[in-house]
Amino acid sequence: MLRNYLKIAFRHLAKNKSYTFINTLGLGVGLAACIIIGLWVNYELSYDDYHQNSDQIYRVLNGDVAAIPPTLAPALKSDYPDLAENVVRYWPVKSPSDIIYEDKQFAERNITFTDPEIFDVFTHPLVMGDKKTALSSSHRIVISESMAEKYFGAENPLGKTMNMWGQDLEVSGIFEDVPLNSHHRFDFLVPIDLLQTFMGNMMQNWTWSGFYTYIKLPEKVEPAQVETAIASIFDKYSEEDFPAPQLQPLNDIYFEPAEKDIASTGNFSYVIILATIAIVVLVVACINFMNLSTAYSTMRKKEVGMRKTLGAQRNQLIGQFLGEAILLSLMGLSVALILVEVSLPFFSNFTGSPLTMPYEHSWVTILGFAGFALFVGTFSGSYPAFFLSRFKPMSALKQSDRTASSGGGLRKGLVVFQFAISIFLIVAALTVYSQINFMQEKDLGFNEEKVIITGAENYQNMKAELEKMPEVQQVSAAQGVPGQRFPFYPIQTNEMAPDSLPTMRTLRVNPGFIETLGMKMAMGRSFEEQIPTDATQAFVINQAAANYLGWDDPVGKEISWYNFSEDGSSFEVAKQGEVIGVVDDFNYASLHNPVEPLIMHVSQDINMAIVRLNAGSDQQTLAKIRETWNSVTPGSYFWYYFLDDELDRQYGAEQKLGQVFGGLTLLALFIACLGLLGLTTYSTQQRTKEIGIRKVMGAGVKQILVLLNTEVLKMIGIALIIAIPIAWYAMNQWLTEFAYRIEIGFGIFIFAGASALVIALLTVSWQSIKAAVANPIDSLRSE
Amino acid sequence: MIQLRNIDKYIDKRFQRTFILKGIDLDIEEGEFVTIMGPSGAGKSTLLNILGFLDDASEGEYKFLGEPVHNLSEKKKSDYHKSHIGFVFQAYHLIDELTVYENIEMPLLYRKVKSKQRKAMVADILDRFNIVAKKDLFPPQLSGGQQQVVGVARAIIGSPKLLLADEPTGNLHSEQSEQIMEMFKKLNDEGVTIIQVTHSEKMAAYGNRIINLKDGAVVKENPYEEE
Repeated sequence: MLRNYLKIAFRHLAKNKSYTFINTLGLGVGLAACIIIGLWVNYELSYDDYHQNSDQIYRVLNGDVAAIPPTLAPALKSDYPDLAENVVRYWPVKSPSDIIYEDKQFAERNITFTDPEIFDVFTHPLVMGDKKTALSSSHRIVISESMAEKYFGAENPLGKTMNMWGQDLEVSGIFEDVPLNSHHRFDFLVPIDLLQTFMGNMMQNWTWSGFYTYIKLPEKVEPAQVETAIASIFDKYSEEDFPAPQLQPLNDIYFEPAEKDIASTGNFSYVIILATIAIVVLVVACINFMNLSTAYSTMRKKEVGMRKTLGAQRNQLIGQFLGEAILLSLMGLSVALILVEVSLPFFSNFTGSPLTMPYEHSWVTILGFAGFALFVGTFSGSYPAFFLSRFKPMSALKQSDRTASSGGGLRKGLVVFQFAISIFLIVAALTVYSQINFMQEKDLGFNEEKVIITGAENYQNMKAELEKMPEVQQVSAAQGVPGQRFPFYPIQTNEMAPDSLPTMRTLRVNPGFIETLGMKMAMGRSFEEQIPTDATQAFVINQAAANYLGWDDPVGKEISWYNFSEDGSSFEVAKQGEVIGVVDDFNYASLHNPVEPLIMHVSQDINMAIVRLNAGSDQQTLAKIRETWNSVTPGSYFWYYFLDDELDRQYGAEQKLGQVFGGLTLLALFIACLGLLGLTTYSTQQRTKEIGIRKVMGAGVKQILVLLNTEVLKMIGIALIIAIPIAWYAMNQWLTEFAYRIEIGFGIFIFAGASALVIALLTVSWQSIKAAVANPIDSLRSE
Repeated sequence: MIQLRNIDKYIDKRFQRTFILKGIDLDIEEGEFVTIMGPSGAGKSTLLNILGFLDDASEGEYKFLGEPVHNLSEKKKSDYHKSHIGFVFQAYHLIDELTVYENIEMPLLYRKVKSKQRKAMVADILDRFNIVAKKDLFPPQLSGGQQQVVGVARAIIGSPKLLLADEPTGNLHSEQSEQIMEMFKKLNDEGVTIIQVTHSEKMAAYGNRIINLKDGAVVKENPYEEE
């Protein structure tokens, strides 16, 4: 019996080659898209999963803020030893620092100060060294395998001495490279005890919040217990009012970043969006399958009638047709696996996520995919199977033409649905694209082009040398540049109640900063070198700050700006002065958010030099700057970046989303067109007789084309009516995430509709032209 | 009206030429009622298709109303076809999805006849053929004879000069056949040239001339007698 089924299935597939081809290709492409996006989603969801007992690891948040004082961990450990045996702090070094071994010297970005407990809390296996002693005394350093390779090559690194910040550190361990799917990655671990040497009293400061603290709970301890313990510690040791502490599960960190978070974060809504689209693409492919198999089923009515007359039960027939569907979906699966194999490396490279097919768990994979194919086959094959097996034997044998068109309404409905989806996706992709474009083109309030950011060591000499170069237009310096998050400091004005100390983002700059970045003053003047009081008692605020403080005419208003006291134990007034100017708002953070209030003042506490270049070759100028750097600050590492590159990178996630989105849209449209092609092939076949008669009655090619294409026009029209309001609503929802956004223009809808229409008509016309020019006597030769 | 000179129709297949029609010479005057007879495969239908511009002859000359058809442009051919020729088929070839009324109206649509005039013409034909009551039915709801009446109505609505009928009564029983033939006779009396293909002597008798076809050639004798 099974052999008979298989034989018939194969012959049916071989006979209707275009049907088989369209179904296999459509399913293959849909499955491939689904598998690839599935792997990516799985990867995104796997962040920090590799730690053993990752569900017992939490991060301490201060309200919504991730960065907390260094003092909490020791206090927690001494006061609640039974709760907090395994607590670890991270203090990532934010700017690149030189690490030296003999003649090798590199500026490293991934350096983290930490506690010895790191190896108890997290799973970072040591390749060499002992995890108990690796970080147990201050002058030690533990490095990653790839760093060991970079600095030591074939040598054994253990016991060797590396130099950082002028300190000699003994290499005491090598850990396996931190997996890419970690929310925080590092190449060098240095004991926090060493930080004490540099920070002194700051390490006992309850207001300095720069540390990330993780805790691995003992079994049967609830997070709430620890939260209460932390709250009581804050009460006991600090006079400040801390917001209620929270324990954030480790696995949530990647998708739910806190304020002042440590590192790169994912975007859960993108994961959802792409996963949804991938499933939609697969559904579109499944609809093809349903549509084509019900359409072509009329060809098999005779077979169904015959089998029924010979005693086949309905469920046997259902089984047979479901089996065929599964066979076809298995064929689609093999096409999909080939497509995945070919395209996965590109996709991995593109998203920067190391995606691989989990072939190492071979039987799980095979079972998984077979199950998937089974599901897809059953899902898409069930309707045709029930439809086919429903035929009454006698009417099925009679093959009357009238029943051929039954189910046509449903088929058209499904095609409308497919095109509605395609049009929706086109609109969505265009909106995403225009929004990204808009953000890249938007006037940020400063000129980010031809600006090099580099280190500020020996800045005054460096500046003098650079200004001599004809290629350099202007040089300034600051503690940060746009694209970074500037720290909050308390301020006070005369209008405020004496005990209220609101915080405001603060940027320390050198005179010339505003001009070098090409910002515009709205009121007053910017800092000037010649006016000595500008360095000691002057502030420039941005427009948002002026609004926040409620000042219409801010120039001349007084502000007190607070900083840590000398011993680091509290805040005190560090600068008092008046506002000399208001700068137009410039977007120093993401365009997702509106510009926040900002206060700037002159300080020598700077770490970045800002060099604006004249027109000309950037690379040659860069080489000259590097030379100057090496002569002015010998022995230190030259790092640099172009400001516009860095800002472009900020929108990398959206850009990639846009591109993946665009790709999936094309796939959906392609699959929908495949289906349309199959259906037109079928329906023109059904209508050859009618076309013949019409031609004999005098219809021309043009009239036949109109006849055949009107239906498609109608279907696309309905699809447009369905898709456009939904797309309009959904995309407006998405755009609310952006503080600076485009309005969705009518043009996008016209373009989406027109392109769907043109593509569909082209698809259909291939068949209808063939039918229209065919000689009618061929189709009318019925005798 | 029709002049055929040395018409050949053949199919080339793998170095072998199969003739369907060979050296046909034929003159048909306006107002004739011609019957083409002959055994299956004699080339009757092919000849009819060539006469009706549905097929091209491989060789030879075909003059329609004095114009050489083999030299006509496609456009001209299509115009002649629309305005001068009507077809009736053995299998009726009505469109199942259209009503009787719509089926009859169809040729007028392709001749761009105005809607008002169309209505009048269709109503006239329906009346003339006594099928007004059936105008909203679909072809499968009619008997074979009724379907063929619709087929004839459709063929002549454009008042063609030439009516081509390929075994118009082949699927009908004798009473229905006679009805159709009476109709043909009446049309012929009104001046329509009719060329029909049939196997039936009885049906051939309605015409005023018989052309016997055998193995693609016109023969004098009755081709059925040899069998």
